[in-house]
Amino acid sequence: MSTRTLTRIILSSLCLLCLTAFSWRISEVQAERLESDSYVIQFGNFNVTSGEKSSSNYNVTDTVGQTAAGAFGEYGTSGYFVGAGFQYIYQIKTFSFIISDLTMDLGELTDGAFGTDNHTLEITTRGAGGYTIYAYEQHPLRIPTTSYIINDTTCDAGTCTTSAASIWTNPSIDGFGFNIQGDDIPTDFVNNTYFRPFANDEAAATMQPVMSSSNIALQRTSTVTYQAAKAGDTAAGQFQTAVVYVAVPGY
Amino acid sequence: MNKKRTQKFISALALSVVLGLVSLYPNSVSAQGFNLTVTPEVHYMRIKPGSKIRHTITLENKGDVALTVTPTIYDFEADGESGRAILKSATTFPYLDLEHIQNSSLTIPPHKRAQLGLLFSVPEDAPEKEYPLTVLFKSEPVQSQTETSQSQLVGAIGSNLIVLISQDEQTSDLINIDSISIPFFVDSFKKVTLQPKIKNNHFAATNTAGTVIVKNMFNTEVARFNIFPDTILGYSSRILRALKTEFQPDIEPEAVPFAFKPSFLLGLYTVEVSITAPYTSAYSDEVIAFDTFTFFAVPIIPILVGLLGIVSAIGYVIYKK
Repeated sequence: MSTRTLTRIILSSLCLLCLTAFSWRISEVQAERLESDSYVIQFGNFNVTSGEKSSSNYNVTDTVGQTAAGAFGEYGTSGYFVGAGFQYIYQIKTFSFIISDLTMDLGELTDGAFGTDNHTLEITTRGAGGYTIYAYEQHPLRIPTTSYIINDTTCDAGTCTTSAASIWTNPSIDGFGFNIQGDDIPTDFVNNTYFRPFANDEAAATMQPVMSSSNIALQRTSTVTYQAAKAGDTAAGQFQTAVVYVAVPGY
Repeated sequence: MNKKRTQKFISALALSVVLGLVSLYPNSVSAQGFNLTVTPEVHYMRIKPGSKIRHTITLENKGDVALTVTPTIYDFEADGESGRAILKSATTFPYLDLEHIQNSSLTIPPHKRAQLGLLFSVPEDAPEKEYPLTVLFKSEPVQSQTETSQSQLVGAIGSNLIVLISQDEQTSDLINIDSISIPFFVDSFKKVTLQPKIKNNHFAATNTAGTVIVKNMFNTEVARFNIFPDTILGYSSRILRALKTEFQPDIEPEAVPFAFKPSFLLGLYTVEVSITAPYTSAYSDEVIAFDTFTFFAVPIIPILVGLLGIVSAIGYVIYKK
């Protein structure tokens, strides 16, 4: 066998090996996607009913997959009833919530300059009751394990609150707040210069709606922009907090 | 020629190697997000005292990274106007093992589903009552990766569950029509908007049905709406909405405001609000609440202009004198 032929064989084999690895990767992904309209994957202790048994005194029945007949669902010897009037017809619906990024990097905060970042929120519901997305912060921006904080913003004129936005364009005024633009947002966010502080959970403030609608919502999207500014007398460091978005369907 | 063939062969091989390496080690650098779907989003359930029932909520992680969520149950209340659920700080629901539920955190791999089974155990002597609940699934903050100031984001998604403890089916005929939120004087040329608000004085939720009809002083109908079948929780109020089309069981209905814009309105008009039993009831034509409201349509702007003209004319005459 000539050298040329041997080289060709080796190179062809390597080529085939790479292509095979590529096809295996596709198959592996497909095999992980175990989907069915009726299947259920249950995980360990998440199934709080494991170990339950029935007795002569009661029957345990499951509401999943039940369809109701008539106005108020099925009656019978079981102790359950599914649906209430009209709602039973469309009650099996999904509610979907997407946050595009889970870390907002405000950069290294310096005097006289804003640190900003943004992400999107997306919601989908087919329920006629609509939805509400609430937001709150766990605490003000703070260097962990210290008492150094950046106060929640009160905006340029000192007038913005957790429920009423106002203009904040002056980076010499320290604070931390957010702006939201897009679908179903509160009307006080007139443009991208209007900011609010987050409701502070540490101070037991009530979380505030940042997106809401009373109707069906299909991929309703908004962009949240975070803004922080540090005053000259505030210590330098890595300020951190956590912001929680709570998506609740209507009824 | 052989040299060219060899070069082509090597190029093809290099491409294959690159493809293979990329497929084995795909780019995993992507923004870590929260992408969760919950089913069902709202569920109504009646449980007879002395029964046990399991309700299942399905979560699907549609994102590319694993999510760890912890379920918590909250009471919610109606906002008195729409179907918005206002969460309270905790729950008072006594028929679930709440401690077990709240200790059941779960990590859902990407593109996987998981279920939470809630076992309701209601004693024989449980009082009849309705419990609006939200089961909230909250994720955990991701670990900090940067050396700069930052905010971690946490996502939480809810599934509403309205639980009625009752031996029998409950149908509410204790409905009050409180108001329709329309001023007494309306402009003859502008759109007329009505917001009928009703109150459910029964402890159990009910669905709305009926009609809103607007008639002129000659008893001629100028507008007619069917009421959208919204749910009004027990002891709560809600502003009604209109059904865009006729109710059909197989077609999902659409809610719209009660609004109409005739070419011209003049005089006294009557709004008749008639609440009937729910659309799916065996007695769907039975009227359980009825009330009328009136408004007066006048061409406001022309009248104002006319008055201004008269005042100006009088003023001019006085000035001349």
